Amino acid sequence: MNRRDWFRYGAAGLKGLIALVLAVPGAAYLLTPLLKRREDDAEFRRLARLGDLAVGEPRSFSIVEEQRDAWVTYPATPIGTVWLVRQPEGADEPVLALSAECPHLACKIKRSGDGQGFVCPCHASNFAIDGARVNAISPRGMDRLEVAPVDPNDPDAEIRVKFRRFRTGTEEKIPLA
Amino acid sequence: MRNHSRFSEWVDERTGMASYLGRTSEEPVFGGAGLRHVFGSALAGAFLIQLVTGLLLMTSYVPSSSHAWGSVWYIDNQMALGWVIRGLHHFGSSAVVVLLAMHLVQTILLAAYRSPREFNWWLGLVMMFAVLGLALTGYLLPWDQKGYWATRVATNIAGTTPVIGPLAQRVIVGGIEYGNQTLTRLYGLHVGVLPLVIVLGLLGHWALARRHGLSGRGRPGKDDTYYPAQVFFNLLAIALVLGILLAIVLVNGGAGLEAPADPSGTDYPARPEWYFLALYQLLNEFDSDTEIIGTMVIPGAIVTILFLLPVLDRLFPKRLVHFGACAMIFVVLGGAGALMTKALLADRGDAAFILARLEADRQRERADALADHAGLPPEGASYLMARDPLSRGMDLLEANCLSCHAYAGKGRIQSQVAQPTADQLREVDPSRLSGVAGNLPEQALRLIAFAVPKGFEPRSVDRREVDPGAAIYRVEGINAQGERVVAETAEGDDHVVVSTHSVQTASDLEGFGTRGWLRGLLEDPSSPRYFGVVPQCGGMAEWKESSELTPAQLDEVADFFAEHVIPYREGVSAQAWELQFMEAEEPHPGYEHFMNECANCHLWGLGGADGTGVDSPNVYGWGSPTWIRRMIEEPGARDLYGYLADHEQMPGFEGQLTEEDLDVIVRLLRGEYLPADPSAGSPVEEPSAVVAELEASQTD
Repeated sequence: MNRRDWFRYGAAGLKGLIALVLAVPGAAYLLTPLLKRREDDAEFRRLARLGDLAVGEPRSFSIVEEQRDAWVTYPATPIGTVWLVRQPEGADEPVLALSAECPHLACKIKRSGDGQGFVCPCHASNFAIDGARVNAISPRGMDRLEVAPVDPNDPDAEIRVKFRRFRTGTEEKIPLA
Repeated sequence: MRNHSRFSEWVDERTGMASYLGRTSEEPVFGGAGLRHVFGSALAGAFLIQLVTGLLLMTSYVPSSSHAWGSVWYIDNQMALGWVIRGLHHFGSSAVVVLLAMHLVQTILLAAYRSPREFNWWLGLVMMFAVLGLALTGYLLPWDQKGYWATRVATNIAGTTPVIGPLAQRVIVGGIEYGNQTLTRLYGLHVGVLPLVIVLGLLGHWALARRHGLSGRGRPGKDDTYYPAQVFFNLLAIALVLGILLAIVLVNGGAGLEAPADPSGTDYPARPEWYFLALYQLLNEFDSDTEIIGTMVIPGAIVTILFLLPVLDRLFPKRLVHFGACAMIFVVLGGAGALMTKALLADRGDAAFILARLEADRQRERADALADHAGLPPEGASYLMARDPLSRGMDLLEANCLSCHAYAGKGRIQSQVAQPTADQLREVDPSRLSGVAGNLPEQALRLIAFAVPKGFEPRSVDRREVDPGAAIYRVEGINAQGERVVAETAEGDDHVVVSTHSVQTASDLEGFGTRGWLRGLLEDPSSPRYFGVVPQCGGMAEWKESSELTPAQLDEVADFFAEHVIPYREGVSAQAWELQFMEAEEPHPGYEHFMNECANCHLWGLGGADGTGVDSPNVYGWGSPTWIRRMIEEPGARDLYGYLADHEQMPGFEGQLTEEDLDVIVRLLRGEYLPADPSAGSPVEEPSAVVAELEASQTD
């Protein structure tokens, strides 16, 4: 190794060191959203009473929650929408809760024009009244949300739903946390 | 060329880049590579660090007067290593300024402004202004107290420029008021215009520097090529700068963020960043009629001479101009150093400044705790403190209520710092403290005699040993208004803290409107917490003397209030509300006790005062925000304390307080706020605590 080589290796080392000192905090800073794990604190929340719903007539309900947007805390604002679908008598569950967030690309699902099911206005994914896929645009059917047990014979029974978000674009239903 | 891969040949054939860089790196460095050639590169390196960290900050910063503070707070406190990134950027600006000064001094010492390097000299000066512009706009952006007040001062200095000043100020500020448009404009300058000027300037500066080669004398036999020898030294310098920066950031724990901008605040001790401190002090050296000499003439003259150096070099003897230039730059730097020292020393000895600084620190910690606890309100950072009972509420209470009421046992304590000059001390008449003077050393005696108000009657002297050899002297007395006055000074100090304590003539408001306050009242109405110092409200004490209710029954009354009275519902009449208890099969026991004893005076709704001849306020909804608000706004209403003579009533505040202010006071009384950090001290300072903090901050 001559003097020139010493300088060459030294320069390369210093360059790496400088880059490292800037890159490590820089990467951590930019990747904050990945490092921050949100706790799954979803709770059952009351949306309606059983008597409010009729078979074959899905109704949408807003999920209202205090929202933390980076440094700002918003007082209770709608953060999502749920379709509640009353099932015919004798079904396993008296009510289905379907998230209105399309599993395709997260647009908001509305009722189809004929009232027979649901449709997403963005890319025309169609779903049946129970949320099942009708065409193959969405990778899976509408996401079912957990509903607290409901007494099917009590019209005053409260329908309580646990609201969650799921990853879009996958066949499998993967909760976001 | 060091890299002969086929790819680089392919690129080089089409761009010439590799050959160009190759030629550059083979350029000879006469006299050998070394640290004396690194200043320009270190400066460029520091600028590059600013560019990288600045781009990172851009991904999270919001240039809006409502949300700038919140976004910076989020970077500092919630983002992974955000405080390191912001710290590097913050202290990096100092590095740029320091390296800029070094580069400038070296260029002048080497007379590198001479032909043929004139254009590079001028380009460098232009970039220097862009750098100073970046340094200024940068610390305004967080829109904290420091940034806000610095913006006002800096733009107003710009406004004093003859002719175009007022117009320029209005354009920069984006109007007359400071707000969103101010920040977006400053932001545009800081991240767009000024960096662009510097980047373009750097390209030209670098190209010209290559064209003319490095300056300095050759030393035969010690020549190196630019790469790798000089490149190594350059990188070494940059690494050194970065290392020092990182150490400073780690030691300081980041850049720090003051409380959000508060345009209504009056006691923020605004000081510029250290590199503008000399200019700040220069401004202080002049009176208002000659101020423009400090803000414009002197800096302008220096800048003009710098720009004209290459021209002067041709007009006058070269060696004379060079000597003059060297002399000037050292006089300027030495002068700046002296001014800076003067400014720092002035603040260090200024007890009022230190107290204001301590208060600013408390506000900063409070803002931080509030943001950490519940985030910012959607309306923005200025509402963080304005809705905090302990901040805004306590200010309102001190200004409006504590001259009569107390809160947590304390009335209004107004602390002032007196710092007399030697002449003033000599003229003091120490006989003002006759009676207690014997126990005080001469210095403390004169200081305190200077500081206490007219008509002060001394009562007692106290000497307290804090550390061995250091004592605090404390003189207590009464002023002309009968208020308790405490003057304190520590041995060897040149200042006195004088605190005036209001005379309590009304109840203690801590916890007012809660079960606890009510239960206390029912237990001992003659306590100074309740009506002990309010003779016109002696009715409760009279009741207590003849009351037959046991403590357990009083608990039930308090429970009844907590469950049914304090949770008042707007729009329900007293009669409608009372029906549920009157007709209940098993009436609430508290209600029954109330009807047996209290209802002799107090009624629900339109009670005693209205024609029944009973003298007591209506307690329907007592303790609810509605009731307290009415009590604040119109305490002399017929159904409240209208039965008292006018001079016995509390003054009403109708029309003097906004809805938000009323709300924050109510929440302060009811104790609905984030508790203060116990280590941060109580919001109402004891004077001796003030003195102790002053001592501590001065010995730092």
